[in-house]
Amino acid sequence: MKAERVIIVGAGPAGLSAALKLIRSGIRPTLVDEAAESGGQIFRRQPKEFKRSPQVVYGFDAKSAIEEHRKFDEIAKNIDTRLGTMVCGIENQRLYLFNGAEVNFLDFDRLILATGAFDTVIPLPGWTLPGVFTLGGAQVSLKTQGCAVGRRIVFLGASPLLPYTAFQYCMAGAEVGGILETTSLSSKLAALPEMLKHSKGRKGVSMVAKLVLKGIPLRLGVKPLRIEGNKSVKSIVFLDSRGRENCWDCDAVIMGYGFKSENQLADLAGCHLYFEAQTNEWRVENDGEGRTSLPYVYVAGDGNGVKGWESARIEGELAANSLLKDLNLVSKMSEEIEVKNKLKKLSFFRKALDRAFPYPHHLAAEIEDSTIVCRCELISAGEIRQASKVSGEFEINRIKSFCRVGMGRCQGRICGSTTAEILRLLQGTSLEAVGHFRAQSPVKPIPTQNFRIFE
Amino acid sequence: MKLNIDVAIIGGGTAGVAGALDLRKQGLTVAVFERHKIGSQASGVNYGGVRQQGRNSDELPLSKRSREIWEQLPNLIGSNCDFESTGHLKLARSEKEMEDLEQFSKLAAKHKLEIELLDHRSLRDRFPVLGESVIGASYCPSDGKANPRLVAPAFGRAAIKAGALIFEKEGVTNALHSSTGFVIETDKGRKVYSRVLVNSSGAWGDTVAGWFDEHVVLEVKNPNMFVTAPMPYRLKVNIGVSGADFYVRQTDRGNLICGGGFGISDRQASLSRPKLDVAQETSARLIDIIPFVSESMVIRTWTGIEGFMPDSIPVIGMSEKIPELVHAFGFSGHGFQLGPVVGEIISELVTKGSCSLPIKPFNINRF
Repeated sequence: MKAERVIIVGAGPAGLSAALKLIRSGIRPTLVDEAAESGGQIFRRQPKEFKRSPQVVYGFDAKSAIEEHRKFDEIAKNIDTRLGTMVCGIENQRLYLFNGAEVNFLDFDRLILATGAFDTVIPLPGWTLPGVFTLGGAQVSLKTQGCAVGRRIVFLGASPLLPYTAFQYCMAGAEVGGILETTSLSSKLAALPEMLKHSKGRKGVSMVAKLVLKGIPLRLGVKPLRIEGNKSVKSIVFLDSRGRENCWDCDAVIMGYGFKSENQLADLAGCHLYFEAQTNEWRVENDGEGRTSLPYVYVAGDGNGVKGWESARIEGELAANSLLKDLNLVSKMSEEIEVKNKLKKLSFFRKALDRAFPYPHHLAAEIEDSTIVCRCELISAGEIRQASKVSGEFEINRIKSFCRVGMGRCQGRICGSTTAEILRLLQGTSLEAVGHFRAQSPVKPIPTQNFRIFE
Repeated sequence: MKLNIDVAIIGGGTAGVAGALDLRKQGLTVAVFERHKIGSQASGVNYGGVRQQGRNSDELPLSKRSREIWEQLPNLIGSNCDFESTGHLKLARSEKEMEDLEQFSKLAAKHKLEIELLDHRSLRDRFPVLGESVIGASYCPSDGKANPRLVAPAFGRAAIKAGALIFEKEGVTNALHSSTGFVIETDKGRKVYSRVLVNSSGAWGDTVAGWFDEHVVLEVKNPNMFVTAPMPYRLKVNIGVSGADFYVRQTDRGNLICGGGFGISDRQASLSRPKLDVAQETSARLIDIIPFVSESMVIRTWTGIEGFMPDSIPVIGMSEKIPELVHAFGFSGHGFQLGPVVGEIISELVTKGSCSLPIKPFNINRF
C-alpha cells in the first residue's frame, strides 16, 4: 500500500489530536507549526531554557498542558515535526513552507488544517501607539515568555479571555489598572444560567469575583474613546455605562474583541467558505466531521470556528477519523455518537460565552473618519468610506483595490472585520454581502533574500 | 427583459468602458455587459506600466495618441488614476540586447518618440540602484506608471454619467446577427437588440469572434505578479528588460511591484492563480539587476487572465465577416497604456466605419 502523504498544519490541540489518531492507524503525518514551540495558543510551550512550573504557566489547565506536551514529545520522535515553519502557500496538492531560512515545498495526498484563530481588533484613536497589544498576543507573551506587556495595564474589549488574562496577569504579579468591557451587565446575566452549568463557566465567574475582590476596577457597558500618549500609551479615555467621561492612567492597553478562525489557508487551497450568521464570521464549509468542499482537505479546531481546546481535541480526532474512512482504512471511532454529543454540549457553553461577550458591531462600524483602520497601509476609516461612496460599491475586495485597505502585510487579519463593519453600515448591506478578503500567497511575508525554494 | 440600443459592448475592461464613454459623446445609446465588475480582469490587475517604449512598431502611432489622452484623464474621467510620467528604463544585460535597444531608438525617432540611450557609465551614474551586470539601457522620459485598479472603474463612472448603461455581473452567453441587427442574450435572461456590437471581451475575445465564424488563435496566459512591503523610496522609473522577461516599479508608498513569468488559470471559471516558484525565479533575477531588492519582503502574489495573439499584437478593427461588428481584444500583456486610445478607435469605427489611426496591422484576418 502506497504511504499516504498527510500533512497537518497546526500543532495545537486539534492538530496533535489528529496526528495521534493517524499514527495509531499506521499513518505517519508531517506536523507543521509556525510557532517555535508546539501547543498552539492555549498550551503554547515556553522556551526550553525556561523553568517556570506548569502551574505557574497554565494555571488550572496545567494538567491538560502537561499531558499535551508529553504526547507531542512522544510522537515527535517518530514523525516529521516542523516547528518554526510557516505555511505560506498552497497550490493544488503542494504546500509551500517557510522555515525562517528558506522555502520548501511538500506534496501531499491529504491535508488537515488545524490553524487556530487570531485576535479581533477594533481600532480607536491612539491604537497604534507603542504599548497597545492584542489580547491573544499579550497572553502568549505572559505565558510563554513570562513577560507582562506593561507596568500598569488596562484591559479593553469584549471577550471571555479578557478577564481571564487579566486574572493571569494579576496572579503573575503585574499591576492591572482595570478592565473595560463594552459588553453590558444584562447580556452577562442572560448568559449566566448556561455558564454556571459548565465547570469552565463557574471557574470564569469565580475569577471575575476574585478580581473584583482584589479591588481591580471592572467597568461594563463602556464606550472606549481614545488612547492617549505622545510616544507611547499614557492613558485611556472612555465613557462609562452612564455616559460619563473617564480617564485611566496606564502604560499598556490589552485589546481583545474575540477571535476569528484563521481560514486563509483553506481559502487559498480553494475550499468554500460560508458566512456563519450566529458568530458573524466566515467559516470553512464542512460536513460536521471535518471534511471540506475539497476531497483532500480537512479542518479541525479553532480554525473551524472558535470553540476552545476541548472541542478542538475532539474535532482533530474526528477529522482524522474522516480522513481514514475516506482512505478506506478501517477505523472505528466507537464513541462517534458520544463524541458528537460532547461537541454539542460544549457548543452550548460556547454560545453562552458569545451571548455574554457580544462583539460590538456599532463600535467598529461607527469609527471616526480620521481613525486609522488599516495599519499596514495607513488607511483611515474615512478613506474606506470615500472609496465606497465614489464607486458605489461595497464588496470588500473591490474596496481593497480602490483604496488599498488590506493590501499590507497582514492581508487584512487586523483590519478586515472593522472594514467589513464600516462598509456594511455605510451601504446598508450585510456582512455576508460585503464578503471577506481573498487569501493570497504568501499569507505571511517572506524576506526576499530567503525566498529560495527547495524540496 | 428586453433592451434596444445602438451599441452593445461585450466586456467591461478599459477598452469597453472607454469606448462607451466616447460613443456617448457621439450621441449613440450604449450598453456594456460585464460578467464580473468593471475592470476586474486584466485591465485591473496588470503591472500598471504606461509605456510606449519597446512596442511593436505598428503599435507606436496608437501608443503616442494614447499617451496624449493619459495626460487628459482628469478632465476626461475626473481622476488621473495616479498616473505619473516618471520615465521607463529598459535594461540591456548583453551586447545583443543593447543592439536591440539601439534598433528601437531609431524606430522611435521615426515616430518622434524621445528615447535616450545610456551606456554603462552614465546608467550607473543616473541610476545607482542598478547592479553591475546591466551594461546599458534605453530611457523614455515620457513613459510612466499608473494604478490599474482605478482606471477602468473611473472610465465606467464617467460613461454612466454620460448616459451609458453598464450591466455588471451579467455575462453575454450568445450573440447572433441578421439583417435587422444583433440579438444578444445574457445570463440574466435579457435579450438585447443592437445595431452595432463591440467585442472588447479581452481573453475571451476569440470566443465571441467565434460566434460569428471568425476564428483566431488566442492563447490565455497569466502574467505572474508579486509585491513587497514598503521600502525606502529609491526607484522612480519604471524598469523593464530587453526581452521583457521581468519588470519592476516602486509605488509612492515604497512597495516594489514586480512581474515575470506566468501563473495558471481556468478561463471558463474566470479563476487565475499565481505560482510561488515563478515569483521566486523573478525575485532572483531582480536581485541580480537591482541588489536592494534583497532587503525587501514579499507580501503578496497575484495574476490575471490575459489573451495573447500569435504575433503579440492585439486584434483591433471591423469584422471581416459581419458588418457593424467591431473587435478590440487580445492585448497580449501590454494593453494597459493603450486602453484610452482603443476607446477612441472603437468609437470612430462605429460612427465612421474607419479609423484615422493606422490600424490595418491589427485586422482580425491577418493570420
